[in-house]
Amino acid sequence: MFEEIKQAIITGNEAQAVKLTQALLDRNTEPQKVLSQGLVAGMDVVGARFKAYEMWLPEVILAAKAMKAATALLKPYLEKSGGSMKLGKIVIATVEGDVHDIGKNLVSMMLESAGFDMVDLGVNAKVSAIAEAAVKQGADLVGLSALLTTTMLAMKPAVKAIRGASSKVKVMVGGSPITQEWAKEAGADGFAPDALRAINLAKGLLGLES
Amino acid sequence: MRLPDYGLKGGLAPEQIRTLHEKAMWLIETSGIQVPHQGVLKLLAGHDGVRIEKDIVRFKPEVVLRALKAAKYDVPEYAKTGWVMSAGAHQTNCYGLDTGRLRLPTTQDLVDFLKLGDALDTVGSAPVIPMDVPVHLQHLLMHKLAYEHTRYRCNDIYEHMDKPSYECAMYVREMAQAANKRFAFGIWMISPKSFDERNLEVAYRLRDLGIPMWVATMPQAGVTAPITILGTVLQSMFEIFAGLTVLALMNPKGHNYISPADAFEANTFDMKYTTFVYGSVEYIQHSLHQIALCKHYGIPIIVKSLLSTAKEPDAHAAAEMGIHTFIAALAGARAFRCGGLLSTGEVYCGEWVVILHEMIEYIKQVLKSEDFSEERLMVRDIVEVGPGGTYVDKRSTYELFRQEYWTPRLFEHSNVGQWIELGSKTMRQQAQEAARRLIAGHSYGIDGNVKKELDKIYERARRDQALEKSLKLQI
Repeated sequence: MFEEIKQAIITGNEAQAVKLTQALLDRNTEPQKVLSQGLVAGMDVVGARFKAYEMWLPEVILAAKAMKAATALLKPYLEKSGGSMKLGKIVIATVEGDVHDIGKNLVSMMLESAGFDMVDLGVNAKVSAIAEAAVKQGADLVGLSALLTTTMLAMKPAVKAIRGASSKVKVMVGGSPITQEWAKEAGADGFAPDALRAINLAKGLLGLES
Repeated sequence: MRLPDYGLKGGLAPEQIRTLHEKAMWLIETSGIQVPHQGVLKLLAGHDGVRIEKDIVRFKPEVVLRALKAAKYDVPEYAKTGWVMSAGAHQTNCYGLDTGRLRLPTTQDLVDFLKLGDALDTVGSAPVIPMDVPVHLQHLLMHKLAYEHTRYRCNDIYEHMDKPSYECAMYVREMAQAANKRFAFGIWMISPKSFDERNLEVAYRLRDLGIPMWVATMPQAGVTAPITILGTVLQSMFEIFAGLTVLALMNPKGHNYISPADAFEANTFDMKYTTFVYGSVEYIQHSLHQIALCKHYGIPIIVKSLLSTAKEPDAHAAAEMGIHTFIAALAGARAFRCGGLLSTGEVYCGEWVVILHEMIEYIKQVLKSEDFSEERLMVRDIVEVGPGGTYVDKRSTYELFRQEYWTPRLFEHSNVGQWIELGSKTMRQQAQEAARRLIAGHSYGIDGNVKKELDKIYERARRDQALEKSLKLQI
C-alpha cells in the first residue's frame, strides 16, 4: 500500500492519498513509516521529476496539496508516537520595499510540502522584523526574496541584522535578479534559482538529506 | 465562436495587379524574349500568335493567357493544411555539425542534413552538394540520397534541383521511377529576357517524355532588371509568363508551371558589396508583392523568408528571418524556404534549421485561431479566488496549462540560474545537440530492393563516360 500512497502523491490524487493514509493508520501501521515510505517517498519522486523538468508547477502543487492533506491526518498520530514531521523551521519574507510575492509564496508552499515548518512574514518586511522573527520563532533558516534590482539591495542589511540577532540561523536568498554572486555579496549562505532548488538548498544548509 | 484570423493590410491593390498584368502582356508582345535555341525556335514557329524575328520571340496575349490557364500545380497533401518549411538548396559550403566550422560538405554531411531535414518534416531540394565525389555524380547522388533518406525531398513542386545535362536528367529520371518519386525539369530565364542555351537544349530533348516542366527567373534590381523593386517584379512577371508560354508550346505532352519557389522573384542587389541581398528590407517588400501576385494567379505561395546576409547563425540572421517570416505569415504565406542557408545562400548550417523550425512553430502558435467563449473567460475562477489568493492550485490550471501554452523545444523559459545549472549552453550549442539527436533518431528509409536498384543505376552512371563528358563540357 506504500506504493499506492506514493502514486497518489505523484499524481496529486488528494482523496486517494487521504483514504490510503487512513487505511494504513487503521491497520496500526507506524505513522513514521506512512510518512517516510509513502508520502515523502512520493514527494521525492515529484521533486526529482520537477528538477528534471518532467513535472511542472501545477502538477507539483497538486501533489503538494495531496501531501498536505495526508500529513494533516497523520500529524496527531505522529505526535502521539513521539515522532516528528518537521525538518526545520523557516521564516520567509519579501524584503523591505518590495511587494512581489508570487515567487516567495511558491517557495513557501514547496518548502512546506517538503516538511518544513513555515512562518511567512509576507511582503515589504522590515529588516528588524525579519531578524526579530528569526529569533522569536526559533528559526533554523531565513529565506529572503526580492524581484527588483533596487529592492534586492535590502537583502544585505537584512542578512547583517539576522547574523547580529543569531549566529546559528542560516540565510538563503532568491528572486529574479538574484545570482550566486549577489548571494555571496549579500553575505547569504546560499541561493536557489527556483522553488524546487530552494528545497534542496534548505536541506543542504540544515545538513539534512537532500 | 472563434477570433477572426490576423492579417496584413496594404500592398498591391487589385487594380495595381491588373496594371502589372497588362504591362507584362504588352512587354511580351512588343519587346519579346530571346530564345537562343534553333530547335525550340522551330517548335514555336508553327503556332498562331507567335512572332519570331531572328531569335527574338513575341507572343500575343491570348497565347500567354492560355499557357497561364493551363499551368498546373500539384500541391502535395501535406501543404494543403499544414505549414511548410523547405530547407537548403544545394550549397557548396556548410558549418560542420561536429566542429561548428565552415567546410566543404561531404557525402556524410549530405546524408546527415537530409536525415535532419526529414526529422523536422522539411521539404525542397537536397541541402548540400557532396564535394567529395566527382562533379558528374554530384547531382545524381543528391537525388539518390534524398530518395533513400527522406519522404519529401526532391519529390514535389517545392524542389528545384538542377539536372545540368540531358544524360544527368535521364539518370535522375530513371532513379525517380525506381524509387517512385516525382521527376520534373526546370528552365531558368537569364535576365534580362533570355535563356541558357544548354538548359534549353536539355528541355528540348526531354520534351516528348511527358514530364512536368517549370520555369523560373531571378532578375537583379539595378543590374539585370530596373532599379525599383516594382520594376523588377514587372520584369520577373514578364519573363516567367513568356517562359511558361515557351514551355506550353514546346512541352505539350507534360504539364507546365511557374516554379512556386521563384515565382515573381525580384532579387535585390547591394551596390556597396556587389552581392545579392536576401533578407533586406526591400526583399521583404518584394515578398509581399510576390504573395499578392501568387494569390491572384493561383500559384502556391512559398516565400524565401529564411534567408539573410548573416554569415553565422546569429542575431542578424534571427532578426531578418524572424521578421520576414512573420510578416509573410501575416500576409497569408504558410510555406517558407531556404531554411539553413546563411550568407545569402552560400552556406548551409544544420543547427540553424533546428532553430528556424522552432521559429516557424513560434509564429504558427502566435497566429493559431482561438475560441472566444464563456468557458474561456473563466469568470467563475476569478470569482472563486479571493484577494491575495492563487490560481496555481486551481483544477482548471492543472487541466489546461499544458494545452494553453506552447512548449518550446529550444527557446527555453528558464531563468539564468537554471540555465547555468543546465550547463550555460548557447542557443547554437543546444541546436547542435538537438540536430545530432534528431539525426541519430531518424528512422525513415526506403525498401531494400529499391535501394539496390538505385545503387545499380548509380554504379552504371559512375562508369558512364558520356555522362562525365556531358558535364565536363559545361565546366
